Amino acid sequence: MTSATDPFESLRQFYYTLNPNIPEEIWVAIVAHYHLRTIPKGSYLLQQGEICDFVGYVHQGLFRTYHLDGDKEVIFEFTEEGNLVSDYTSFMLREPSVCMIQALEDSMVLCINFEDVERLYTKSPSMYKNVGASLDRLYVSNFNKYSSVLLDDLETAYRNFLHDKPDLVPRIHQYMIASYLGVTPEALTRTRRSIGM
Amino acid sequence: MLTPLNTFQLEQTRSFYNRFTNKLSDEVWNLIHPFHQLRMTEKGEVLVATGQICDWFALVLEGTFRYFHQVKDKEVVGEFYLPGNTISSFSSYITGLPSRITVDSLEKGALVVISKEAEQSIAALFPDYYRVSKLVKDKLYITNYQRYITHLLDNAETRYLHLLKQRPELLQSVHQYMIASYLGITPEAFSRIRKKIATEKLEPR
Repeated sequence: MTSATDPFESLRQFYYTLNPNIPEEIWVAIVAHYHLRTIPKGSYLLQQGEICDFVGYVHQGLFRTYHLDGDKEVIFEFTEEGNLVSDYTSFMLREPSVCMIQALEDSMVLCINFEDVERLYTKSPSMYKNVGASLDRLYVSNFNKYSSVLLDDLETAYRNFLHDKPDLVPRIHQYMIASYLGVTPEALTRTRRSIGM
Repeated sequence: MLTPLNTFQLEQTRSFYNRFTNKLSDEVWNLIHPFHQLRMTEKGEVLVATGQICDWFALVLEGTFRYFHQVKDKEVVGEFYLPGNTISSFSSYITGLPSRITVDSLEKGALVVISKEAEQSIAALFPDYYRVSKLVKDKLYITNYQRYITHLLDNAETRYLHLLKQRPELLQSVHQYMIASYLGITPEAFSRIRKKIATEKLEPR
């Protein structure tokens, strides 16, 4: 859970942490475009091949973003409460997504859709700052993930994962963490042993 | 060292803006251009070291730049930047946290630097700056994402063919061993892939 129990208050805190100077009337205009979605465990926010039409703020729960290649799953990302979930490239380019987004727990997400983001942007250029500052977080998480893939060193990648997402480890199956790190479950077990876990 | 831009560099900077906005009038441009500064770089010069906080981004006018991860004694190249690209340690720039990467200059180069402080002044005079800044970051996001996806899903040969198609100019300006690092393979494996592709071109199937 995020610190606030009300989803909209939790979203407000997310925005104001990134930019404390959002005028109240601007906030009201922004939040009016968000709607609450409840996603049961196992259900999908996005299916591969669809255009991703939302950026979601996870108030509660956990998602995984993965690519399905035949019957093989490649996990790109885990997104827990307090973070944004989307296929932002599909969202921006209006192209079919290469990934699925699935709830791993019963989840609550506040979503804003593409047209509404565009509508906000046309209201005033400062919206690019007010809304954009929050969407930039997607860049950061994608960059961090990409970096760990590049490192090509399982131990470092796993340590980074533990460091960046310590709360997630008990909530996710080992085999999914292995898929996320691009290795077999056995290789991950060996690495965990070698660092004394 | 940061210095003012000359007329030609100003023109290059302005056409950079024009790629993203049609709202930049001569009057406004005259007000905001002094907030853009020139930085000349030497070969090997480090612009952002791992652990530093990066509070600027820049437009590349001349030269070739890259970012890399230091992994033990190995440098893993994440991206190259050529004239017309924007460069920063963007995660650090966005979050204000220390950079996890090193950004350096591979040859003599020239950058137009916009600091966070300058950005405030520019946006106060030219509100559409926020739009430009957002579009620049979105473009970086897409590049980063596509690199990431192709790294996960494609093999080295496909990645190389993609690079040949998308950024042929890169192969002219960067050492082969760095391209190999960028593709995530050894220089020897890279050399084998290049030979294979050259042969296939001569004898089309």
